[in-house]
Amino acid sequence: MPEIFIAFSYKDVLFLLQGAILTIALCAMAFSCGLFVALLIGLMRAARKIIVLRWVAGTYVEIFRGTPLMMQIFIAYFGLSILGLQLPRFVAVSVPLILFTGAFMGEIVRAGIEAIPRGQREAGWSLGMTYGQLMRYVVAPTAVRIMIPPTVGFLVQLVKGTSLAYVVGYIELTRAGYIVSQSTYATMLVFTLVGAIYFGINYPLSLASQRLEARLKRHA
Amino acid sequence: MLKLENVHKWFGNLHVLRGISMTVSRGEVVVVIGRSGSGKSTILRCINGLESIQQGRIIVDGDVVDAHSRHVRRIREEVGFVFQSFNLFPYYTALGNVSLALKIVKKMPPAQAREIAEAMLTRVGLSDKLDAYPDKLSGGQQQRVAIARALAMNPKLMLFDEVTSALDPELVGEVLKVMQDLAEAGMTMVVVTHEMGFARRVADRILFIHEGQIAEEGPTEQIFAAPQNENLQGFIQSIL
Amino acid sequence: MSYTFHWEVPLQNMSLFLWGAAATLQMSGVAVLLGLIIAIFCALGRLSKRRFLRVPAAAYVETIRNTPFLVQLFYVYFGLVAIGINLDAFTVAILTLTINCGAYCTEIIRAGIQSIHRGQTEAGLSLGMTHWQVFRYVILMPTLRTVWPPLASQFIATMLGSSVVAVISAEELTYAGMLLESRTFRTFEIFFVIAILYFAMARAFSLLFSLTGQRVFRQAWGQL
Repeated sequence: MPEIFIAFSYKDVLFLLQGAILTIALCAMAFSCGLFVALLIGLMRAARKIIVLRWVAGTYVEIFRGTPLMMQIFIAYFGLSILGLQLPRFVAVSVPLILFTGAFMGEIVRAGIEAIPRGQREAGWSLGMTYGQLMRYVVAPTAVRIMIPPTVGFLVQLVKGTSLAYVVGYIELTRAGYIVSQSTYATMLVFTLVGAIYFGINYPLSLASQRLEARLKRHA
Repeated sequence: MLKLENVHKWFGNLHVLRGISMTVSRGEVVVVIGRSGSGKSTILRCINGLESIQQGRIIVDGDVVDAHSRHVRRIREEVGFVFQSFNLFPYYTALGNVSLALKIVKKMPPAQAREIAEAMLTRVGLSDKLDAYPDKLSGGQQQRVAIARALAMNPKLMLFDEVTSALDPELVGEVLKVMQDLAEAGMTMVVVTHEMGFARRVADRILFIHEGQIAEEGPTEQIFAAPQNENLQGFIQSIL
Repeated sequence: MSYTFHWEVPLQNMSLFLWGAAATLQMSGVAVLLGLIIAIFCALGRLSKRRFLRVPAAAYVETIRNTPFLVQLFYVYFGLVAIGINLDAFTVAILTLTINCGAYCTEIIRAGIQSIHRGQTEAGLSLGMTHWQVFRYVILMPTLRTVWPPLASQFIATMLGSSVVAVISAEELTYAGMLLESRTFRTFEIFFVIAILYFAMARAFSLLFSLTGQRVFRQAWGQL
């Protein structure tokens, strides 16, 4: 029978780091897949002529921005099992995060597209470009540059959001911290470390986002 | 009235003012000219303490200007400053802009402040725009409100920092007219400007600033008729 | 799909949910109001020239903004226990929400103050105003007008984020759902309805703030 209360040791630090890695893995999954959703949503939202598309995408975004992330994770997690899908926990937790990313990044994509002055699009049309060409050569280069600072800012939100996978038992960094804190006496130390790791991931991102934004303003 | 004694100022490593000494007597109108970056605006901003000086002294009517002290605020009540970018308070009407400082700095009762503000705005020709917000006024009108705002405080000295440079050409005239009227009424003024026509008509003395120093100074006609300093000669040529 | 939905479970317990929703609003409201007070001081602190004010304010804001709320919650909760202070979960929740909200509001207010063109401050000073007068008459009102929309968003974000406090069993809407769930096991239906309630609250407040902002700030308040 192993000791219930053991002293905090390097093994616990390793456990925490494992959690950190899973946190990052979750982010990577959510972000990469979410980006596709975001592109779709963003384009739909920016569609001038087809109101239905705009409305559908708009509702999607409103739902995910108007409800707590924790609820989204709960509903998706339990909803998926209701549908009969037995997914590995990682995937089950990724789904709501992907949809979440899709909504928030979708807004960023839309803002990026709409930031292109109408005149540039008109110039493209006058040259005989198709919609696809217009998007690819005229809109995309500038839009992407505009989108980068808020995207980096969103990544910070995403990293913080993964901590909510805690509630469905997924062992990311926060859950790992909780587990360690329950089995050692060093609760404050553990959570300080957990906080420090999150900070270490997010703070550089925050700084980068600010610098990129400043650079963008200067070149505008 | 105003005295600068060997004023030096650095912006970091940049030696912007290099030993400026000048005197302005009561009722005098002094126009300061020079190229961009020569330090002429900086001189004005040092006089009312918006910028601090590292060496030398600035004395306004017997008071030494120390930008870091509390006392500078009192001096500012007596020195009117008009900015190049007007700097009107956007959420106050013209009347509001002019009367604000009267109420909170000079502690005047609202009725009296309003009276004075109305009088000032009438003096600059805007009696019909009392309740207009700045965003509804043209540049020239805004600048006139700014002048009225500074005048309302009944200053002993008025400083004008390139007040027409940000205006469309056709609006410049109305502002210069107000300034000319002010000069003829006997106000002590230090004006930084590019408007040579104005300088010739209104200034008693001209100061030419070059690279942080007073390269030449003298009565108006003399400066324009027979400029000594070669930089000044070049400058006048490029302006006219 | 062999699952039968039992929507009557959440629907019959609406009174429980409404009580939870009221608690959520109470929590969020207090957190935002107190957070705002903290924020005004911290914003001024961050903009101050004195390092001993600037650095702690910046440290506070950056720490909170870059760590998850859940971790902050645990930190405060276990931290208080470690010091020997035993507060009920509801109070801990409000405390942590306030600390969290304060940091975000600081940035909002700071951005608002900085958006005031520097020339305005100079104009005020040149007229002989004290720094305090400049702040009060020239900076404050335009800043409030600018920060109203982001503050409204922050209130809604705080309200949505408050669902996390259910983890420490603080009594609000999400926790009400968890209570019901532990009795009936109808996880999906319960939280689906709760999500709709959150959504409804978010929309309602968004509309409320938008209308209020238009009423208050459109009028000419520029005459003292």
